[in-house]
Amino acid sequence: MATFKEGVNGPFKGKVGSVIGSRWRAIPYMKGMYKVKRNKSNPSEKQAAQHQKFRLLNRFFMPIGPVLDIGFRALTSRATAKNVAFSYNYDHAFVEENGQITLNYPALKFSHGSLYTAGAEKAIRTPDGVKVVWNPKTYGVGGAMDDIAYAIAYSVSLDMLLCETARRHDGEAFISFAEAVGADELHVWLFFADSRGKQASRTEYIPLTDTEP
Amino acid sequence: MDFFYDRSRPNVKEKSYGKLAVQQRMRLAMAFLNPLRPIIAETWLGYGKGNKSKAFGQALKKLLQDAIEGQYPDQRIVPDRVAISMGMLPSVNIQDVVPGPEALEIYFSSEENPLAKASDEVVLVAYSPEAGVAGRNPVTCTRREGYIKVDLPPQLQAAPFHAYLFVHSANKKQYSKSLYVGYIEP
Repeated sequence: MATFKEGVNGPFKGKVGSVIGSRWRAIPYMKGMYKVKRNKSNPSEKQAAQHQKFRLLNRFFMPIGPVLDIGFRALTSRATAKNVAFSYNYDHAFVEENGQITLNYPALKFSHGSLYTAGAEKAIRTPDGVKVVWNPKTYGVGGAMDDIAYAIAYSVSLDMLLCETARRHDGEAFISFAEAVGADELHVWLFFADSRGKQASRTEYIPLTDTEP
Repeated sequence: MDFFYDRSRPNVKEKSYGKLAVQQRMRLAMAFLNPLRPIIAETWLGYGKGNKSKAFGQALKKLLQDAIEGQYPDQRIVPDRVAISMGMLPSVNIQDVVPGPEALEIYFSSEENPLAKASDEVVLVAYSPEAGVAGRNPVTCTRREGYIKVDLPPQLQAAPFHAYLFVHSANKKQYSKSLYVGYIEP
């Protein structure tokens, strides 16, 4: 798409002939009138695969918009956090097996930044949820005791994505599914953001361990 | 210029060798220094005229000048030439390095120097650019003590890391040039 930067008369707003001028996040846009496409042909195999990928990733990120707002805050000056998360993950988010496209859960990221991760992260399955633990120390660089931890869990069978927050110094968070998730396929991620929500860490995928003894 | 061309194909110019080399150098330098921002903001502050962002820029410039070797596409950072702090304060002499499973200990001595004060504080930094994690000594340690210890974050307990040592005055106005302790493997 071409970029229209302060033309002879500057950006405009509203409809001029068949062109509509508008502005979003300080970016001036010129849009054409909406065209109704009749007799839409069936997508080719490649197009269908592309549609499937877009549907999968968009649906996955849908419930946690506010969390993505914090995780990708540094990159949202000219895009929404969901769009940033989508493009950040798109290249590595899918696994293709026997013609079936599924999400590559361990590779998904919910944040980007240089705040330090905690280390020694563990996710322990309990009868009705997941207990996430991490090392609460900060070692003098790249993190503070009052950083907020965002623990995210996804149950594949329930198709439920949940997020719980805790302070870094708490060292643990519990994500409750309010239903038995005994043998469900669960995926757990953890990232940190500073108390002002300005900086975030990378996302760590935490492999699940068995029920606590 | 071709008279007939495919309108749907974007006209992308191939980047020159020099441009690609510079871009790779910048990428390497940023990846190495970025996790150390909180430390560099203090140690290079004098060179950034009190501005943290300028301080980081100066540290980056120094790294680009001194600590990158090789030709594109095989350029790499030489960690022992990286200066995570800079200044005129005399450094210390390392006597012994004792790596442990959860901590790194260093014994050092200091020569007599009109600029060196017994109350100068010594800082030890353990850093892994691959993990993007660093740790520094939690307890204040002075030049006269001759011993410093840093607890290793869990990410560094099972992975190799670089260690740097530097000295600053008690009021944090003056710094020494950082000393590369070595590449410590578990």
